[in-house]
Amino acid sequence: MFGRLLCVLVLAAAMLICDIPKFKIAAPRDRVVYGALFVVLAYLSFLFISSIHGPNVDSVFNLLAAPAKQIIQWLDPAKSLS
Amino acid sequence: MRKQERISSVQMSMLFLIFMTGSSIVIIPAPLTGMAGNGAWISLLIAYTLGMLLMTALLYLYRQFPDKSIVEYSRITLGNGLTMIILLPFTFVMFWNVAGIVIEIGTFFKSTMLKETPTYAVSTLFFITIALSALAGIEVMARMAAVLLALMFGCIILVLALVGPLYHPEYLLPVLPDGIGPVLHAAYIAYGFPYSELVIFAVILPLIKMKDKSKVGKHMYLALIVNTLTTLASVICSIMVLGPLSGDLKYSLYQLARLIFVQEVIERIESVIGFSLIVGFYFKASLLLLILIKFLAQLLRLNSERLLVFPVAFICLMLSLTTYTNEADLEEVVNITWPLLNNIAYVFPMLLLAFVAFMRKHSKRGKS
Repeated sequence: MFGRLLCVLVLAAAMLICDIPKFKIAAPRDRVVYGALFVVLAYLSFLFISSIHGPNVDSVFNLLAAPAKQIIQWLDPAKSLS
Repeated sequence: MRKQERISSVQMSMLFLIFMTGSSIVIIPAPLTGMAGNGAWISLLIAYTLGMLLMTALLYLYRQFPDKSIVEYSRITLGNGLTMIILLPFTFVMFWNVAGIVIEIGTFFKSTMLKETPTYAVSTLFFITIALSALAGIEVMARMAAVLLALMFGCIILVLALVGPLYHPEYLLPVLPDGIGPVLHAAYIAYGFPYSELVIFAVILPLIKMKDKSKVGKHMYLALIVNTLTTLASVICSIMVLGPLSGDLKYSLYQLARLIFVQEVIERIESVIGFSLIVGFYFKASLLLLILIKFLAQLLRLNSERLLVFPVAFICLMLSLTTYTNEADLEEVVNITWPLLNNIAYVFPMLLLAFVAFMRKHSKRGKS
């Protein structure tokens, strides 16, 4: 956990050092989008550091697993997918 | 990425070729031969045909709207509201697409060369390189593509030539022992990765120089043909060398490189080959990140693309470390869910736009 936390903190610090000068001169819309991305990033970083399996894009993708398996059954009926 | 950068149609086709071949040449042969056995080459040809149809639709939209990306002509064709609805899945899937490539790189390194190194260390270094490449812009990447393409194809040809003494053409028979079902299944996988991903080039095709616009179709079709022939050669050679094991051993080209042994002078060169294969992964991820950033900037009507580079790359890094960390889950999503996901997120919006643009053009002709 310590290794992961250190990795995230170092990367975040480097990112902010590079981005703060650009952020200061950015348009309001750009700042709002950057802030929104930062919120998403904070959530994903929390999931990574804590190793918790929370809601993520794979939760959405997994909703398509059943119809995808059905398509494969149609293409290759001999294939059994559990 | 300060001013509107332009590249030639040859450079665009090189970017396209390295994008399509980069990771698929390493990953695709094993699952294809695992599903379809000796009929894997037929699956590839079926997937290639579908890819050609997608390319036709893509180039049709490009000819109708030569200076506009998919976001811009979607706004013209469907309006702002519907554009946001149909391109939102496009956005999410593209985020994970970048992450997915780096997950594959991490898995490749973990299983072959850096077995004790934590995955996040490899992925972090990769994302730093990818982000800096995307920040350099498309002109720099296009110039890089020429060199990296030569390196990648040189290594592929070298591997396939040096394992020549190990070829057993008899391993190619029988072709369809279990019927057409497994071949269609494998074609579905090959279509999902990489052929349906070509749709994302709709974001950067407008960056081609004005004087080259008439040659784009020819060069893009040629790039697709070269990609298919290269992957076909890789699949057929894997079957001829590894036989029934070709479906069980991941990273077929790397496995072939491990078998190279020439007079005790040329042996154990798989690490060298491995690094050149990683170049393909790296370039595909960099280009995908660049396309994602341009797409987001257009969709959200932002003034500055450069401000997005690092947070988007960081989000993709976190996605690569928090989703499908288990190899079995990753294999399932790539082989089963990914083709359907691409159809919904990438292919459906493009086909819808092509259809609406076609109908509008013909209704205008009817009225005039």
